[in-house]
Amino acid sequence: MVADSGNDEAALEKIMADSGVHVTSEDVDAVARALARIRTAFAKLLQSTPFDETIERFYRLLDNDRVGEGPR
Amino acid sequence: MKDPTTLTLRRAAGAIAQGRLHAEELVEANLDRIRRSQPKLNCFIRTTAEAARTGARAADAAVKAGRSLGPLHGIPLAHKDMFYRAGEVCSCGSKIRADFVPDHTATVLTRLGDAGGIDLGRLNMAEFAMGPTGHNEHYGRCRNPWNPDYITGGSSSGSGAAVAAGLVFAALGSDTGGSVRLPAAACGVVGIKPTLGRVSRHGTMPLSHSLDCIGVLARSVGDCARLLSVIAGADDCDGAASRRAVPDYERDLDDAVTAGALAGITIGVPDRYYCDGIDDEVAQLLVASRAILEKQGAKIVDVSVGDHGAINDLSNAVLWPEAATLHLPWLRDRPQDYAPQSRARLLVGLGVPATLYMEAVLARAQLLDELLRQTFSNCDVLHVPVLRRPVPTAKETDVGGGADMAKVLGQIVANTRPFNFFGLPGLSVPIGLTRNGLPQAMQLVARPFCEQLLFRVGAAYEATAGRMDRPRI
Repeated sequence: MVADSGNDEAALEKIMADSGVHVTSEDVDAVARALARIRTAFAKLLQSTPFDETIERFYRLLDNDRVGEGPR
Repeated sequence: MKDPTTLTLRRAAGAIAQGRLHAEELVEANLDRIRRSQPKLNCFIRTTAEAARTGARAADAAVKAGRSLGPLHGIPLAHKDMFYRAGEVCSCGSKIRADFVPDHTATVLTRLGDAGGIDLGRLNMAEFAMGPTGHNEHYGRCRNPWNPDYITGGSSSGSGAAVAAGLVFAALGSDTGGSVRLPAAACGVVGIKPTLGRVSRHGTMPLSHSLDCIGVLARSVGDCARLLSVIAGADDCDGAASRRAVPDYERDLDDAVTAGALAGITIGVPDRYYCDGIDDEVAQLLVASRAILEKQGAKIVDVSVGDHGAINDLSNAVLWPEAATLHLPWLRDRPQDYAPQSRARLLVGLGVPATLYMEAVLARAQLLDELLRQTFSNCDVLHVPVLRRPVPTAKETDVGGGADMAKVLGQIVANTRPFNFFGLPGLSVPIGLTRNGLPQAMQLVARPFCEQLLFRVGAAYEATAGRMDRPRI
């Protein structure tokens, strides 16, 4: 929850350290930058996740697509 | 026969089947090239010469007895060192798994063996398939046969370099963010990343379950088509492998070499992102490649795409949490055994909140749906560069785990990763050399499970432009 703010590097460091992995402040800085890019990307692409969305729909879209079996 | 290692895989297989070439002769020729090139290129982590010789003798005996072992009868192959074979070390390019001996064999290796392929050994790769350049701190950098000062691309570095140098006829690689298409492009060979689920991943090293694809690198489009025909298809050992029927990917290739072979096919050029900041030389090669496709009858159109730069960034929210989960025990107990770049990338996965990971995973359906409805409704195939700049030197990309690392590596994978996020098939086809003497490639992308269409377009291009020459080593 705290890491979701994207600003609190101390909280991010705690979350990473809670995984049992030793991290340095340089590690945390780099991860914070990566997280910021991810959040910016998400904000550009989608405002929110539709409530009824499923992971399976992605795989159905792939597996059931028949349009490309011949030229349009 | 003059030098059988210069043949394409399909021609070599035909010559063996007709008794004009012996598998033993071919295997010895390849082993000799491997021995001579290894100090310079470092493609192999390990060779399996004696097993290969035994296989070659069996292949020749089968021909004499009038038996065919399959479409790869007697063909020398080698694979990225991440495909498990029961009882044999599989290092995954790492120190951590340097002594790992799996107890089962990858479905893809079984299928290649059943088709008559002969395995010459294990190829170099980025540590745990986590780098796009070909650097490897543990086994040494794999070097580009066009010029050893330059990167091979990665993570299937040995696969690209070994095929380009004529050490083997084809090689398996894996592609989670471009790891087949990048080394294919940088080394001047053809590489296919199939649709997510087209090829079984049973017995292969995982990196990201949502993104990993097993692909093929070979010297020609037709050779890639043959390999994919052999390895694709449902697998009872991998529930994620698609049960869709596997077409004969070689079927349309003879037609593809006739004039006007691409009539009725529309090729889309994205209106944004993929050519942002592109180098002039690369842009000129791309324009020339489109002219050849147009000459073969394809219609070239501009198409609109969404914000694929953002999708590139978003894919980090899927890839690294999945990878970090797999690597967590080693990140805790053996952090010193990772290269700094690998460790730094895995740590990103520890910081991504579960909700953000799930949002990224769930976003895939909506974003793929939009791409299919809005972009692929106006074209059959997308045409984009694999790289936006000439292949860089090893020195330019030797950035350790420092602040520049993400930026430099991000530039290399910028054009390949979006299609892993979408799960779509992509074919890398060489289109010429830049002034530094290194290859460049176009990336053709199609709707799900349209690998056959990609092969048709790639083969038509290859028939007109010619296959890329082999570098002198």
